[in-house]
Amino acid sequence: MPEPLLKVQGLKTYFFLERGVVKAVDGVDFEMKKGEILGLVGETGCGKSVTALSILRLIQSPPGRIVEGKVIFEGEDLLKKSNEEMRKIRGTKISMIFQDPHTSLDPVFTIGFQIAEPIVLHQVIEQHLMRAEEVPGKVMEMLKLVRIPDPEHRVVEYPHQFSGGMKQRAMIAMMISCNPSLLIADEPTTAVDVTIQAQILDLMRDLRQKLGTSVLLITHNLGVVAEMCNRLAVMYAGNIVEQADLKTLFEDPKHPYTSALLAAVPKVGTKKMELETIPGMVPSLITPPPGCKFHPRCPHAMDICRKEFPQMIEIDKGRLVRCHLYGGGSKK
Amino acid sequence: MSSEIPRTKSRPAKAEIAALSGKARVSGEKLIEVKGLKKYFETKRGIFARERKWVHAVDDVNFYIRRGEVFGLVGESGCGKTTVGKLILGLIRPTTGEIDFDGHNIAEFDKEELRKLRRRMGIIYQHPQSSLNPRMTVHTILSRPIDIHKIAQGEKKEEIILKVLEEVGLEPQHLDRYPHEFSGGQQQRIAIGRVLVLNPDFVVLDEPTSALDVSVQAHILNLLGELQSKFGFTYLLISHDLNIVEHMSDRIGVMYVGKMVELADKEELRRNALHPYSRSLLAAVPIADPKHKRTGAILKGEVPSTINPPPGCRFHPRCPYAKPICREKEPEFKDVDGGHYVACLFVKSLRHKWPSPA
Amino acid sequence: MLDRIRDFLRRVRRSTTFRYLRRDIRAKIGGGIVLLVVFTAIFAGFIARHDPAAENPSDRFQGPSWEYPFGTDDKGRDIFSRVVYGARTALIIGTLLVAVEALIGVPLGLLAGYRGGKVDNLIMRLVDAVLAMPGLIIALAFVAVFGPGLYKVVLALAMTGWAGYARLIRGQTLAIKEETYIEAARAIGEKDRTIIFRYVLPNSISPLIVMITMTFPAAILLSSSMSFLGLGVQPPTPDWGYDLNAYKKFLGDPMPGPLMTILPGIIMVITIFGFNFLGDALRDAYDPRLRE
Repeated sequence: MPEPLLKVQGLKTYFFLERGVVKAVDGVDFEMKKGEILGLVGETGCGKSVTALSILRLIQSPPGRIVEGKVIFEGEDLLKKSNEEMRKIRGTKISMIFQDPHTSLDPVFTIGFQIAEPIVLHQVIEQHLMRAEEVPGKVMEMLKLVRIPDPEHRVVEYPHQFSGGMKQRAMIAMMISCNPSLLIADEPTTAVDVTIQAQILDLMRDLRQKLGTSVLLITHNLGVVAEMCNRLAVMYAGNIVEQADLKTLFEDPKHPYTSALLAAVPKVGTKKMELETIPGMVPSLITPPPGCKFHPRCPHAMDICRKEFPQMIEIDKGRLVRCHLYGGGSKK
Repeated sequence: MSSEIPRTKSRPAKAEIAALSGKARVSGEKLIEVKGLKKYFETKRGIFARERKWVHAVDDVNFYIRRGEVFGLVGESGCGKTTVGKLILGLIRPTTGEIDFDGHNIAEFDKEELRKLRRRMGIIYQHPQSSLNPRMTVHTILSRPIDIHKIAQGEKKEEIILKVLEEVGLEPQHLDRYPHEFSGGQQQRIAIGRVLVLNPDFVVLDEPTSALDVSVQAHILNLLGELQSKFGFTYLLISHDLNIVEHMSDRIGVMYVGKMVELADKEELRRNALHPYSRSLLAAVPIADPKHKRTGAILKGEVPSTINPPPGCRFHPRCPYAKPICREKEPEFKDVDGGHYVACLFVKSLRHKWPSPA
Repeated sequence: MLDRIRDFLRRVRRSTTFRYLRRDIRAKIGGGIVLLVVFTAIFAGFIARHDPAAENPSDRFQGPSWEYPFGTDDKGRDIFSRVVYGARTALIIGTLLVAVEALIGVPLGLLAGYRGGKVDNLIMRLVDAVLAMPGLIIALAFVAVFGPGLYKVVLALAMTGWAGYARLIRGQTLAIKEETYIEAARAIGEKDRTIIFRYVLPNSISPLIVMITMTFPAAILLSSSMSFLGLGVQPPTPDWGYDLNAYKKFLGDPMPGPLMTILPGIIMVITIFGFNFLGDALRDAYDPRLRE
């Protein structure tokens, strides 16, 4: 069994604010294999973005801080690395694309310059894998790879001359130019139109095939997830509550939150008049409910759910749930 | 282990919703009819710009909405759907065209007449927080429409407000609070309350749940559906999310770069979309079901600009079936099958090419 | 009525801006100074021991003592009392100046911002012209024509000062006009006038408060300059600037001569500093970047 590419263990990232400590990520464990697309899903505030930023150690500190855990990437714990070492990893081994392409690109530099920047920095200067003369060629190669039409003219244009979809593609080009093993995509298509979204997702699948990049896809859109991912991890209030491969999770969700979430999504083709709803509201991350954080909203809440925080249990190969319905108590 | 979860509902089931089928709710009478509607915006030009550039936001749109129905308007950014909604509301004045509301052409109304018309219309916006005055309490927000249109005073007014609160799922103690003290879902409920207070005929829902979480979205959509059954509203549902539009609408209009390219009953559109853009759109929508396979090729190219729309059929640069004539001749928006309108020169031949409706 | 005030205070206390202010040392020091000055101005009668205009020829040129904390001047007047009542004058001028400038500038700014087009152009060109004028010199010219005195000083300064308010409010209005809730207000049938006063104006309060806070130090500095030149507040009204001018000739003299100018001068500087400090803190407190 080959070593997983990424292994996150007991990750806790807290934000120390005046009104209290926000436990944005409160004990997250998951693994990623080489070449897979793992979807990290959840609603606003569940901690998925913070998890991604924690992996890359991009958490603003203060007020945030990774208080506990291990992030083992290619065998090494990223949380133990120095800032300088992390800087060398970002953009080369692990890359991240963000939600809003309009604000992620620098408006005063050309697209070509911005794509070239990481290449020059990492591959030419630091790792001596390339010579400076080869960079323009590499930039053109990247533009073609992300299917930007007319690259010879586009390379000297500025971000404002690009449409949203193209900006997103340019950003992808920037991020994969150094051929990272892991690409973290944080809501990569939320800000673009549906038809463009389809193009971007298709591109991502294609790149994954060509370059073998593993993708950690963060989104709240279950449709995107259904199209792209091999496996899913569902997050709620700072914890992962269920993990499974795509089909299994959709067909047979175990955790009550997962089921409720799937039932709440309108789908083209369903005949139901009313959507299922989840009563109550997302809990406070400063003072979460005792025991299982979902219990106030759970139709199956038992006595133990109010008292004890459930552990993650592997009920089947690759199938993990954090719920007392399936065992999960710590005392065995 | 079974994964059966009993239906969790935050409100008791209303028999009316299940009982009313789409057809019974909708009367044949046209509440709103739009004819030759155009809206061009002038782009802000610099001091040195020579010619004036126009954004063809809405470019000759024709359709009607029946009383009691939910009319869905879909399309991507720049297609003009939001502009159409605001034109019908009278918030924007058309460049040319007729907008008939209950028989009156509101395109010809003056400012004061339009203002009085607002009594019969409402709008729900995409971002609930920005649609509420941060300096007004919930009570004031709900009172304003009543005061403006002199609907009620004193005790009667308070009664209305309390009843509306109940309908949208809020509590009396919320009345003294300010919008920022609420969650997104609650803010949207306040906005819905603001509409409900007037009991209008017609409500524009402009991306009402796009900024909300999935679970909250379900609450709000259910609420909107219930209110429609109870109070007989006519909805214009504007969204880029086909899943939502499909879920709620009776008929759906598809817009592209300022024009309507297809209009059909929900079922008809799903089974038998005839315009190549509609088909691509339907194919591109991600469905939350891993078994669902994407049908149809991915649409190439970018959404064109509305300042210089492509000549002839606006979709021709991206259309996989485009012929040279599509670049020259603009297709007419025609009824090809009992209420199913399409704007495509080759709709007849294409129909036969595509797999027959399931 | 009382519980509306209590309610308002409760809302203020809970607001993010107030919480930020509580931690800002500038707000505490500046706020403290301002409160002290305001308190002094209001209760001048109880704090000052003597009539500031009362001349005691027998007690001239006294140094600081228990009876006369700042000493006496060349006419035997208690300098401390003069400074205390001077604070009242300063705040009266400040308050009146704010009132006049805001009363002119805010409506003009609202009009310009909301209407746009030609109206906006006209008003803004006027604002530009006024802002280009040297306020103090114009005020002096005004006073030279119409004569000095407290109220004339206020008028003279307000003649140019309103432009800052107009420009600020116009900018705010332009920004707020684009907000969704403004369109929503139109969608429910609100009249334009109501929108301006119940939707736009209440949401422009924050920078307005900062501007008001900053008008005070400007008012004190400018009016004192005018009084220093003899063209501002006239005796017997006590005024810091007037006193600075009156006592400056004793700077070269042996003690307690210099103290006569220095002590009132220090008080004035501290007051102005306090307002500025508070204003800075307020400006930062209202800054939207303080999102958590």
